[in-house]
Amino acid sequence: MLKHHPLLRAIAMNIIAWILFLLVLLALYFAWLREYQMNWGATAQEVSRYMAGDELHENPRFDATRAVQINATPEQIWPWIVQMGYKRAGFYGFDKLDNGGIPSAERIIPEYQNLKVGDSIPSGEYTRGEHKGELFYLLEVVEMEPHESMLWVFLGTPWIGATWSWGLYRVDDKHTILVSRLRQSYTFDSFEAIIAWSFIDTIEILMMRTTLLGIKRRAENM
Amino acid sequence: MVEKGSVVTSENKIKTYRWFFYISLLQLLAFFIVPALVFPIRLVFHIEIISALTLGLVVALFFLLVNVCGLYIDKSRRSLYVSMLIIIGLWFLWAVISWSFIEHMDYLLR
Repeated sequence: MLKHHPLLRAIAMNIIAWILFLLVLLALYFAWLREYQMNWGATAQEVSRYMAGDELHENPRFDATRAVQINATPEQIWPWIVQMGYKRAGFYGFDKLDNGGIPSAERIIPEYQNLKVGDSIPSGEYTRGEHKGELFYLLEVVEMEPHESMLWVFLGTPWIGATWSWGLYRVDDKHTILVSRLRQSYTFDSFEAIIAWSFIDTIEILMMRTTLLGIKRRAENM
Repeated sequence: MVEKGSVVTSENKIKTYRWFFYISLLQLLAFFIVPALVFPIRLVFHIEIISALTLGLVVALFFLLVNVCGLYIDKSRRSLYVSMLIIIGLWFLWAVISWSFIEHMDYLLR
């Protein structure tokens, strides 16, 4: 009988095993890992504290507050944040993916220090079509308190409308807590949205953590 | 005395398991072969590395569990499964070290 063939049984076994495996992973993710990664490095106080742009998403599905303590003053950390951007200082992350292969800056670049409210931050470049080679802008500076806080709002899909808020909180003369908060009220209204947000929800932490630690290393080595 | 029926059942179980092992191995390999075919050459190495540290790790975890089952179901090839477990164990160790010290991992970031 065909159904008793070892290969067919193995295929069925593989499908069932994957379903069970993914269910266990999903259960673990939503029971424990998601909350941990959404608040990586942040205390309960930092998670609940108001940050610029919170009013734009009152009950966001994606609400990630991450923090890192840096052995530097807010004045020493601030320049590293304002110069971020594609083919500016980079995002201190995976340069091949988010900075066109150009290594993120290891120094403060004076010409990128004049970021102000209303400016757009380049986030990538078109790789095909009539705009090939031109930069595109996914982030706009909406609020800024130099050396304290800054709010970026996303302009393009799938993040459109999402807020990326930065906060610098002085601990003492030599230490500062750098906090990043990403919020988005996304919906699962299309297949593309389900796929996009399934990946973003689980993987974005890897990019953000790399960026925060990249800023920390640079600011501390100044 | 071993009954004929139980020997046949056991052989079928091992055959089925071996197919299961090969399918899982193929899935793991496909996870790395497909990006190599899809992405531009200048990005392939980087995509493969990121893949090995993220979703590839999930597929590897599945394959690890398959190999653990193999230790009990297919005892005649235990050395193969132990080898696979050691390779995946080293892979996990590399991933843990990489993510722990990511800001210093220039070969991953640049």
